[in-house]
Amino acid sequence: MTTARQLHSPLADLDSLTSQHRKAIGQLREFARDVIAPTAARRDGAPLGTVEWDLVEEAQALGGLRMGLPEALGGLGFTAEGLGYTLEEFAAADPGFALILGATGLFQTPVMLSNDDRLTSEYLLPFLGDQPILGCNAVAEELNGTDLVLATNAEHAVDMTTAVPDGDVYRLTGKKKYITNAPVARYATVMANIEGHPGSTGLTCFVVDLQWAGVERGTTHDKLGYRTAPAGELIFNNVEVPAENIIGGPSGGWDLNTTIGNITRVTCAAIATGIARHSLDHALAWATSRRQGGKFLFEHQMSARKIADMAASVEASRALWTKAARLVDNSLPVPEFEPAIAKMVADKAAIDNANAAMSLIGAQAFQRDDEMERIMRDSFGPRIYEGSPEALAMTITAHLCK
Amino acid sequence: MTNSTLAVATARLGALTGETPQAEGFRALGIAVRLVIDDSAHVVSLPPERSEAPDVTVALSSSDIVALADGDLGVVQALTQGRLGAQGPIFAAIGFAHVLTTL
Repeated sequence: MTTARQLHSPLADLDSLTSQHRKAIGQLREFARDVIAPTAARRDGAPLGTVEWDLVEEAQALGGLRMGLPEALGGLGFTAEGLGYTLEEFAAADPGFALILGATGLFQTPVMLSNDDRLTSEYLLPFLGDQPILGCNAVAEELNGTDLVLATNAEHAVDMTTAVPDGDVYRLTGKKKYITNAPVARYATVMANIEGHPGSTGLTCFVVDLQWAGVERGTTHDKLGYRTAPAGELIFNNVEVPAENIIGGPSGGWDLNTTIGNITRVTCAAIATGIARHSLDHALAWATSRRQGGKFLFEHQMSARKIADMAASVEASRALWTKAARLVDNSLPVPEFEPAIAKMVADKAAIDNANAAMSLIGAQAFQRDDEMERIMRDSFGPRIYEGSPEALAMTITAHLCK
Repeated sequence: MTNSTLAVATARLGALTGETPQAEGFRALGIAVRLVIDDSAHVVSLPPERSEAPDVTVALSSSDIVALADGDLGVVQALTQGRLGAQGPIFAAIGFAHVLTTL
């Protein structure tokens, strides 16, 4: 069993990273394995909206909330590949915890790209302190899902959060939904449509301090999985945002949203790979200790095939997300095709492996106190976040058929 | 692109060599750039003495170089609209694009 686990550890693949990054990833991996994994069930069953801040603070001490920030600024300076390896580790332990860190990075990325000294000072430096601060990226709405993912749908968006220009400020009004970290985040990038533009064609990215007047936290969602990461609504009631807090210019939101989405699909694929790996680990632990018919389960041909397929799915998913990550790290324009393919394959691997592990473990996996129950629910998370397979297919076929 | 736009762009890029504040800003990045302008028709190596070993290759049209320098195009837009091309560490390319806004 030990040998099998070593075979699917990603650590052997870290050669392309600097020694400092390898060390930091190793520390975060140990934290995920030794602290986060054993306590995942507790967070999964905690009252809605609970955040274990002491553990977030421990992650912060290791750099977990500044992984993507530049080293010159005091961050870990992780590339997409480094982020992927780290989030795969957290996802194998508790994908909800991975999401808390990842959603914060989602807020930080556009601010970093802006290279604006004031935005950096006001909205990134706070993430370097000892006290953990979370961020979020507010895009989805009650009536606008894919209409905020596929640019070709822009004119069909309805009832969008609106930004009304008023001198040196914009006034934001509307409601965002399904936003990871929304109940507890301090800062958000908010995608709003500038008044007068049809649908979401005037989509614009605003950096918002969620303590500003007029910001309200709405419902905290009761999610199927990823329950460690609170998600919910953000309500904006005529919130005054300085025009200088726009990233990418007025109506530049679609281009920015698409770019950030392509980058983020890589880490989503890494998280899905971590979940697929967790199923494999759990199934292996069972199949190498459970005897039926006088031999271990893994020695039965049908079970062996299941395990082999699960391992192949993990390896294929990792190969695809690392390829996409290296492209994202080393080429512009930001690629669309490879991240979409990586995410589509990895999210299927997460669900397929959970399904296979359920079957392999049998009655024990069907018990609420077995880890499989949580893995099964979590496995559907990557399918939804950052584009469903249906949305990804539009991106993929657009690339193939252009 | 016109020849005159290319001439304006290359003239602006001249500020990245020598003892100018812009050159100082570029040197602070600590990278060597191979800048391909207008579909490989024109290549500028910065600093010239490191032309054989660039850290990153950046591709931009001459009109976008001028637009970045004049403030008519932001770096984020150049990046997200696919107008900034690069092979090599992308944050080096993005840093270089920000230097171009100072020309």
